[in-house]
Amino acid sequence: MSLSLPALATQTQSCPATITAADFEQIVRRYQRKVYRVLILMLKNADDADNMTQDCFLRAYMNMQSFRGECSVQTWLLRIAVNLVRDHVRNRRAGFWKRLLRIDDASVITSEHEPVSVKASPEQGMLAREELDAVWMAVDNLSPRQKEVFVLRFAEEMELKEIAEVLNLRTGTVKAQLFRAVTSVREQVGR
Amino acid sequence: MTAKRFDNDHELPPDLTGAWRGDAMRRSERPEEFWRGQQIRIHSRIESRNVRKPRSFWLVAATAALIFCTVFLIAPAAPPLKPVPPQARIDADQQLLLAIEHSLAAGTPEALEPLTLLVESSSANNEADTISHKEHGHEN
Repeated sequence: MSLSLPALATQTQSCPATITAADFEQIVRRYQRKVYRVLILMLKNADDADNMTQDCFLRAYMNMQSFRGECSVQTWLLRIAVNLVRDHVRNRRAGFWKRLLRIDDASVITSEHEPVSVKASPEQGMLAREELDAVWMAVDNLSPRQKEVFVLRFAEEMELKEIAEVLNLRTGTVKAQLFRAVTSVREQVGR
Repeated sequence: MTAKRFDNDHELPPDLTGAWRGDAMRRSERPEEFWRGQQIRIHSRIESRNVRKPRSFWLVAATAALIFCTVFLIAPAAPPLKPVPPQARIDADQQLLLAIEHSLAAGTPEALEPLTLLVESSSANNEADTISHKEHGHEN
């Protein structure tokens, strides 16, 4: 297989009706960051996100022939990624010790990066960081479905219709889930 | 008014959303080497899949051939179908007459000669009957 880069160079959100092996490397380059970002926000573990990004593209490659262009490549890939996360979470729930690991993961990722201090005094910066931490904690406490909707809406800035396509839900259901998620985050952040 | 309130219910304060999104972006930022390495890993995983594919194909083909041969050798050879010879439909009376004719042809005792004449005339009548029957049958 030679993964050369022809047709997709001029495409943005639209997608070809079928994907050839030759297009695939370009697809990887274009979407790997987005897929990885969504995965790390949902999983909160860098290694898992990396492995699952690979799994996502591998699965996409294996199912390339079944892609009919009914949705965008981005939607297709994110759908695969979300399904992988769901499988992963289901497996992770199997054991109690794994739940303990999840707490460790959360602590790893929150301490991984320094807080944002955007042109503010140290006090203001600290307050902003606290508020941001509160949002992260609130997002962590959301149900898996609400978390998916929240991440796709606020991190990826996707439209409700597109979120519905990725999650295989009706737009009305996405709206309801988003409402619950936002209400929950607001309550916990105190805004 | 209602629409605006509805939208607000689905949104967080923009400063908070912006800050959270920025933080989320930063958390997923990786150096260029990481992305290149990931591309290579994806590529090699796809390659290894593709390399394995022909091997599995041959394995499946060999297994199928083996199963076929086993079934072919183990299964008892069915006896060839013999064509069934057409059987003349002869009724009991004709059978008896034929048997008598046969025995007469082999040599009839003198005492039975009158019977021979009787049989000959009877079988002549019979043949005539059969022919007329057949003709009627064809007409119908």
